[in-house]
Amino acid sequence: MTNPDDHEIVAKAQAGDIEAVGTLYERHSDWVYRYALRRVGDPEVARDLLQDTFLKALESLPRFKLGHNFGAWLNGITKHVVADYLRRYYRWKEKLPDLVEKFVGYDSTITYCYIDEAIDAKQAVDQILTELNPNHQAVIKMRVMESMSRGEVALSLYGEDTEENRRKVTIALYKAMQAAKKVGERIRGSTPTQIRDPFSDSHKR
Amino acid sequence: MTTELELAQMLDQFVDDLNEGVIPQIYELMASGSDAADDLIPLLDLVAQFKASTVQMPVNEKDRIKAQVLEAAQASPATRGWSIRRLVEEGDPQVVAKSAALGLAPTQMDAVRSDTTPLDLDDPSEVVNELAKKYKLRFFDLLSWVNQLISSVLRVEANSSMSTVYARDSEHEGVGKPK
Repeated sequence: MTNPDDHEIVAKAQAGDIEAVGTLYERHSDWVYRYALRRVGDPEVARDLLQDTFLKALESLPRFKLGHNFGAWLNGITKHVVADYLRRYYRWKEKLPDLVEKFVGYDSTITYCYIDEAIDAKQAVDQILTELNPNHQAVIKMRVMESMSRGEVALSLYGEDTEENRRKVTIALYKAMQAAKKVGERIRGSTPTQIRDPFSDSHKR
Repeated sequence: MTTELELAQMLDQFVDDLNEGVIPQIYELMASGSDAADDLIPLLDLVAQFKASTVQMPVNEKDRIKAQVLEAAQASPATRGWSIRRLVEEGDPQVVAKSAALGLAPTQMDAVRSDTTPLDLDDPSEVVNELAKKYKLRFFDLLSWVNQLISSVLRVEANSSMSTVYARDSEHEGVGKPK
């Protein structure tokens, strides 16, 4: 486990220490919330899913085996909760469609870093952004991070809001994200942090 | 075959949905089994990571959820530190006395009765299995005793919560019947 303090706190929480439950919430709620938000888009729903995740975690806490990675275990619960929500939202009765399940379960290495190292999400994406060329940076910042519309970005980047320029924005964003993906892969390939697959051991419940 | 423009448009639509704070429409496409959506998954996740990094949960909301979680933790038997020791302390003395039937030597009996290994009241079998090995007891005998202790404790809990409901109903509705 990368975060050694979790071990002691989880043990206290298992023994009924409410303060320890609060500490686990403080440590892990931000990334659980962000993970839910990344899958459902709606902040209000993401907050509900954060609460559901911790309530489910409380129910299962006595079965958590000390020594395993608590973050990876909680990540598994988060995915179950998100998947369950999408199943109900879309009225998929039996199971999630394969691709949806794949997307819900998809973890980039950046995600592992959040969970294992408690790296601030903004810090991780900033690192990727700084290595992109200015055009790619601009379109990601405006379109994704500042929530600007296609038309606004077209006006800003190409001087005029036309259909043709909006199409250019769409393509530019796609290429920028491909470049960001490559940078992310390179960064995590060179990072000294040993990236582990949390699903290899502890989240299986 | 999906063109680059079509892939870009799917990604762009996903961004629109995230920007508007709605459930992404891409799930409908995924449900149809589109291979194109499969190729997009890493990019969709990365876009969502960029987006999520800009969003901070309001402190009051974070605190509100924390309060709910802690309240649930206090109310939940699963997180109230149940162990054989606590079951023995709070369980029916007649059931506790049945531990003698497990065929334990007095010192062994003391050790089992004071064991503080966390126990899930909903599913004690895994822990009981470990304890049976630890104290060299037959699993089913120990599980039977523990289950009887749990039943006696839950009976007491159920009675006390029924009293609370009774009191609340009486106070608000003037009706002396528990729900």
